[in-house]
Amino acid sequence: MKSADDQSAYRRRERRLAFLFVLPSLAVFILFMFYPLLYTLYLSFFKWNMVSPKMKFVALDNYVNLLTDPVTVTIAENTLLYIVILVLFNFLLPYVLAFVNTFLMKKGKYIYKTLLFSSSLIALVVGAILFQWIFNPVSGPVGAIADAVGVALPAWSKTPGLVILVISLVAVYKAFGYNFLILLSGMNSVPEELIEAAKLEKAPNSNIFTKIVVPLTSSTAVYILIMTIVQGLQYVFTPIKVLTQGGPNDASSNIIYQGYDYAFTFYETGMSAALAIITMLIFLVLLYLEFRFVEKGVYYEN
Amino acid sequence: MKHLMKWLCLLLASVMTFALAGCGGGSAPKEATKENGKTVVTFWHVYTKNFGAPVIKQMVDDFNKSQDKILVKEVYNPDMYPGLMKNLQADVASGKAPSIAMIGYNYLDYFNENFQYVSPEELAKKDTKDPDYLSKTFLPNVLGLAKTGDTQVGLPFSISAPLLFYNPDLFTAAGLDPQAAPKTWQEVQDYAKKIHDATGEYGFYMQEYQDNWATQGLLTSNGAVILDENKKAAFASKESEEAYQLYADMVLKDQSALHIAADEGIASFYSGKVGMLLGTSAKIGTITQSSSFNVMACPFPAFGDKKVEIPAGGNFLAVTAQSEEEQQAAWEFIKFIMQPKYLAAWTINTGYLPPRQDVVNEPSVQEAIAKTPALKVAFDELPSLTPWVAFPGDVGVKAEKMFADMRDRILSGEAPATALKETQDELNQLLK
Repeated sequence: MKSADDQSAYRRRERRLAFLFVLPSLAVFILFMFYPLLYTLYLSFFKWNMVSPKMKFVALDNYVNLLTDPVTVTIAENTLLYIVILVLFNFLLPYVLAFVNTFLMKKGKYIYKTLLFSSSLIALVVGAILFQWIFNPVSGPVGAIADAVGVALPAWSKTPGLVILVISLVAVYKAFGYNFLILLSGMNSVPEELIEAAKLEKAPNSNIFTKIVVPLTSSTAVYILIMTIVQGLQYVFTPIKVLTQGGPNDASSNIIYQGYDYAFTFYETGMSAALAIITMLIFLVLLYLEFRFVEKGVYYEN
Repeated sequence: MKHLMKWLCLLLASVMTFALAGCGGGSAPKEATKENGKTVVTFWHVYTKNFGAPVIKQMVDDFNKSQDKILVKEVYNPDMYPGLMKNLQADVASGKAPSIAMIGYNYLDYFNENFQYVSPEELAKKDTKDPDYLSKTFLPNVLGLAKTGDTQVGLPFSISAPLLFYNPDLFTAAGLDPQAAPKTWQEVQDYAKKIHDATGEYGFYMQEYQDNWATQGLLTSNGAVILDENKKAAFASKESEEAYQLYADMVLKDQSALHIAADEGIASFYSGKVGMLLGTSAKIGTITQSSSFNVMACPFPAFGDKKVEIPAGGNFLAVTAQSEEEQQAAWEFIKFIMQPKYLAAWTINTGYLPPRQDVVNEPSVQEAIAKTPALKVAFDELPSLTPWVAFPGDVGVKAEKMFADMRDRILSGEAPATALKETQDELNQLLK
């Protein structure tokens, strides 16, 4: 009996100790994650402009307004287009280039590594202004070249679709290098013997990539894919703010910028909070799908 | 898995940063802040080292040296008026407030309804030394720029007017006389077409910020009304339609006008690719210095013989200090910098028009006008100035974006009548 008592006392102490160890990170988590989340949820039920002492309870009005507003549809389409472009340029392209750099290139690997990473060192605002100058259809260098060959460039800042492409390019040059480096480190963990063996068997490079490298680097790839989508949407925020403020007619806004616009341009905190909650729900669903279907096929080294 | 959790957290964090600004509360301090026995006055402005700030620093230094009871500290707020407004929102929400805030005219109504301030009328009344300061110093129509209804919200500090800059080299190349600047919009259209046909460059560009400033001048100069006496949007009229049609024709039919974001359009003017630029007098200095040619300017064109009515841009100073002592200290400082000597320095550095007429007589201003004739054009426009329409309540900021969206729709080919009507209906819906 006594020993059983001892054991349970020991277990209790262990549990308390464990709780104490978790406490610091738990406190941070509650303060910076759960409290703001709950507060956002709370705000989404009110009409409030951040300074007025009156907060008007409107129940689900903000959500209804958002879901019935045609602008929200535009924003969702834009967000999707941003994601497609970013996945293409910030995930697929560096993935293939990392493969080429690691396994196919014989000379000058380091030079290319450095060159491909260097653009990440320039700040986003600087990059945005640089791109604005480069792509100015009337007085920029690209415009001058197009002029010389007799092509009139459209004003990208006022052309739906094109405006998203140019803004995405700013985010591409910022994130491309980081993604490339991380994918490169993922490639380095692929056993060299496997590749050598495949080469001896005269397997085509495309097969080496799809059959050996992709399965073995899938954990890094999934990480970069998610990062590209989640972080990319934030990376495009700066160029949107600097270059177009969401215009023309909302053609370059995305879900993150729109949330900011609602809160800090129009002072509609309720709408902003509701959009943030909807965004979070969408991403939760996406993550669930990822866990359910993609994660199963992912290879983890340890 | 570990990575995933991390990114899930990051995602949550990113989504929730929106909420943080709203946290906190508490009441404003009713006691003035003291430093070494001096009352501290904080002065919020929006000017950078390249534009305006050196003069503000000079004003503050001179004032601090001129007496030993008040210490003024200037605080720069990035991102112009919206930026300052955001900071003001956050600071007021957390119980702090600056003593003096610089507010853009288009935020007049919004500021009046949402923030606590002391009217200059009240401050002047309490000032036993100089109770008639306002009427003695400023013109009534200038005071009107910072007035909503009968309430004097603040004191106009900087005034800017839209005007037409042009490139005499392109004029000459198109066979136009640079001395005969266009006086009407019909002439602008004609000149733009001639420049485009003769040189292949664009004839005209009107600054396209995300607001209704320049376009308001275009509409009201053709007799359109933006906001009627009942505070309802009333701009979907024949006059607005005509004005927008002319502008849209230049962009779409003649293809002689450029439709592009503001920074790009102005940069194109600098490099000699645009004949005429409708811009703000506040940029006279920047535009003359950045252009590769000798910039000339003329007043905002008219529609036939109709009266030109153009909006004043710029800002006014509002006293947001909470304690009476701080309010009085702020008032002393405002009166100090409103002296012609300082306003003249301000005008010369920034190109803003001063709120006092007598500043024109300062020798330094006369000298600057002789050197930069565009400044004279802006001074001559003073009688044409009307307030920049501020839509009531929370609608104000949203209205500016809706006007910008409307402009972009019309300039990409939508019929002006439809876009005007739809935007007006939408705005009136919001005003209910």
